[in-house]
Amino acid sequence: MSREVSFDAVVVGGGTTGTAVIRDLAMRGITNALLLEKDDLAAGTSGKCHSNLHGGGRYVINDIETARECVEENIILRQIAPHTVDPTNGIFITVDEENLEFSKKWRANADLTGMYYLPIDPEEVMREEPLLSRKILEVFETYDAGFDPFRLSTSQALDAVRRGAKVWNHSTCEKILVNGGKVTGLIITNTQNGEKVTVRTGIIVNAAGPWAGKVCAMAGIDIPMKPDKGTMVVYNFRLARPMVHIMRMPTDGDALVSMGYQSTTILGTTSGEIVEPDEARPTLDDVDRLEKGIIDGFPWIKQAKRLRYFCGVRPLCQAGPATGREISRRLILIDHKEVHGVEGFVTITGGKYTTARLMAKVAVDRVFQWLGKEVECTTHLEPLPGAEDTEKVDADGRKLASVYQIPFYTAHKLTARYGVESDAIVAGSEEYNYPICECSQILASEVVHVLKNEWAVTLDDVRRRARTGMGTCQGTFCTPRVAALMQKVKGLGAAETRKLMIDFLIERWKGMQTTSTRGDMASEAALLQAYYGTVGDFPHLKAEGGES
Amino acid sequence: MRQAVDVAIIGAGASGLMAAAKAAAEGVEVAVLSKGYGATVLSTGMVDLMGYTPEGKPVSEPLGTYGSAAAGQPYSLPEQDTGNRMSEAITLFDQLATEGGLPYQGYHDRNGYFPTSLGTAKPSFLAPVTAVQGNLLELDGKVLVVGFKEYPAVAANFIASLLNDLKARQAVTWASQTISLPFLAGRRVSRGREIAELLDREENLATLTGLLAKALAEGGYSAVALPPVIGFKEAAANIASLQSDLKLKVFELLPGPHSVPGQRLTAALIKALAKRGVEVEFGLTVKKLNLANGNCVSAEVWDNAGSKKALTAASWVVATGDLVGGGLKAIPGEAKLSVPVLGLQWDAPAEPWATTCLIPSGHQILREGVRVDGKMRPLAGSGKPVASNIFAAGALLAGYDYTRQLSGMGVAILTGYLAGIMALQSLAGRGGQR
Repeated sequence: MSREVSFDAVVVGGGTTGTAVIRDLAMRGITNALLLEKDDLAAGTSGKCHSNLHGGGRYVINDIETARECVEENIILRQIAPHTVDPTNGIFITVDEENLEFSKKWRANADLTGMYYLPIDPEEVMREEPLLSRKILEVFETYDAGFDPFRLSTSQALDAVRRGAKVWNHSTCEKILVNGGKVTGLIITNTQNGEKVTVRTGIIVNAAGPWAGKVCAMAGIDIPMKPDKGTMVVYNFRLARPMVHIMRMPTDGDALVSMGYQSTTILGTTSGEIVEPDEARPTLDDVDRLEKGIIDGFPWIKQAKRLRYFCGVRPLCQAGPATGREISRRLILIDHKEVHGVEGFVTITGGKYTTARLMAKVAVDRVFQWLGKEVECTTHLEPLPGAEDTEKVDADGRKLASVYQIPFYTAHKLTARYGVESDAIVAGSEEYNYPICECSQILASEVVHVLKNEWAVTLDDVRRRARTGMGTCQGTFCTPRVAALMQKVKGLGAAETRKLMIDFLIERWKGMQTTSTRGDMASEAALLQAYYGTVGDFPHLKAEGGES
Repeated sequence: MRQAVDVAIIGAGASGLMAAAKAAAEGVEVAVLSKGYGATVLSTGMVDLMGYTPEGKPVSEPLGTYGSAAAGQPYSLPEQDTGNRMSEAITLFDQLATEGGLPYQGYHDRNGYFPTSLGTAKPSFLAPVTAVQGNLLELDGKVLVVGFKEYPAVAANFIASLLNDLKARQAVTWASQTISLPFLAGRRVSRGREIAELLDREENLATLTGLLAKALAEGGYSAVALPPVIGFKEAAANIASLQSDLKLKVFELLPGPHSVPGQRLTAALIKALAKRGVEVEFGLTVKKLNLANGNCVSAEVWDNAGSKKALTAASWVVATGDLVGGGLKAIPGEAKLSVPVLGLQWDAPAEPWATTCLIPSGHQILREGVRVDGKMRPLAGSGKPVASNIFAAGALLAGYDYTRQLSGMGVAILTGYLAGIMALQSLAGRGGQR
């Protein structure tokens, strides 16, 4: 017989929206709430986003309401989660005469939204950014910024859990129970241990992003999801200091996001409707279109080393024939009682990562409307874990470096991910204060921290939280080190530990295989094969059935 | 850098150094030029001849696989009597390693299986004396894996646990302990090479001996497995000293790519070459070989400071390595492979990398490289040799995948040796030296 538990509310989907919803619920007093995620926090659309905290400029032409929302949410996130934001600002650059007119209209619309933009001298920008085109006609600075989508989602979840909520990752929803036109619960399976659990609840918030349609179908409801694929390319260092956007009508390859305190750059993105979000794959054709799109502003792009390609799936939703960029990025709330006659069930979809907090507010407002209570949303006012004392954080990097004898660069990266919590991470496990990853300067103590406190159960979960395996070697060197540490911390058996390594190598290979095929990562891929083929003996282990 | 020699070798991995040793054996002036330290420093320092057949079956007696026509290039080369040459090449390797202070041993012409820092067992033909007692075929009882707290790259607990889970090929039970090395003065972590060099000092080895004696105090152990950092120059003597003091088998585990044993092997070969009058120069990139009338007459060489030099030689050996070593390049965005120093470029296979990471049959691209004729001369696209006096050796060669067959060092030793012979023959054919 399966285990049975009860919650006052259940949120389905552990991306930025779902984690924002559970936080909002908990902050407004619904603390007996559960967040369900079929894979891991930010493993879907959220973790596969462009990492651009929008300043509004991308949307002022086509989608002025979304632009306005981005402007407001950008400022809120800089205040409540400064440790996850790299406040470099962005630049919109005009590189051809024909877009000077477009640029005028862009400014006119920007003025309507109150969006921050400031003309700056192209000469100055070209001097400071040597890899940019030498033929820039205009530059406008905006509030666009880089941010860490994994840490932001995790921080929101942590905040909720500290208020009493529960997070179950690697838990897939099999069925939504409906009785007499009301939801009564869900059937859940833990994908790690196979355990089935019946969850009783009268309130379900569906924040499953592009999978929202599947979640609705479990309750017998059909919604018009139009999942839309966006491909991105990761390069192995920061190609520019600010976020770089090309001033023109939105199309493929508009924006180059240098990942702040991370040492990579992401180029994005494409748009194309797909059917099955689980089957979305980046194609070489997407990559060519992206590079073609940016090359006038960034001629050096062809020489940059591509680490991997990835794609995310936008949770667009609209009835009718519109597709891709024609569909608004605005949030969509579907109260299934009003639309489908199912009470206690709401879907929140559409939107942007940048506007997720607002999406959560709208969904939770609806929940409180059902309950007939009025409780103010305060998610925009209270800092997320790590951001309680922003002034302290800057000083912290230096302090940690000197007190715990870790390199300042490493300490700085740590404070940039965890804010004021960094101190507890290094103080709590001093014997682990050594770099476990040279590529991204990650401390073993950080890995221990995410294993103990942030629900990481696979090496890929550790990667999302601590960025192990995301640098130039793509996990070749850190995989056994992290696995050994994980075995120690969690007391895992040999077969389980070996499987962790092999699963992670297989997962990382997905990205490496494509970039190696194009030549960029061929020598790194060959080294990986040499290491795990000879010292590891992994291919033969598998053939002999040693891999369990 | 000298400006004219008889034989110029490009590349300082095991194949280039073997070619240099063979060519220098007859009083010929040889120079080795290398851009970096060679990919041998990334290897385990073991001599793998052949661990698996192309079908993935374990090979027990690997010497016999060299020279059989069925094996194909580079295991078998027409005109070269590869089987016999392989035995000679291994003899030369053995001499060099011993002269360099790092003797190698094997087990009755059969592969042994050696425990690694990834908790697996790797087939190898010869092992340095520092690792040879780890052969699982000769080991039984309870073995203690000792880790160093300051060297987390070798995690004793993890290794012992994974080795205990290996079903095949062993009658060993593994236990583990982690100790702290006081001579690291409280440092949190150290690099392998640093610990190795510190252990070259007698007093530090004595400290380690004491700590190991304590770790082994409960008794009942048949052997102790250590991180592969037990000395650099003194590694062989250190292991012998530990064996005699502790009165049991002592061996190092095999490393990953940050490999002290790989660096030791390179250093031992260079030391032996120096004794034989061959100098190895690093930081020199050969950008181009200049041809005239089908012969290579000179090379355009650049040093690390960016100045251009010229070198002339009568024979040339190109041993610049594969994708890892850098002799073979995949050109980004063009689906082409190239060997810049030879001016060769060709289409990469349609599916260079399989979508399955650890596919037992291997990845197409890892079999790519330079094809040679019966005289070890690299062939151009036309099927003709690039030049009459350029020879190729080592991982640069096409036709095999050492990541699946575990034959990397075997091919390096054999083809380096053969290229050395061919370079000498070419010299003789010109009526002697330059």
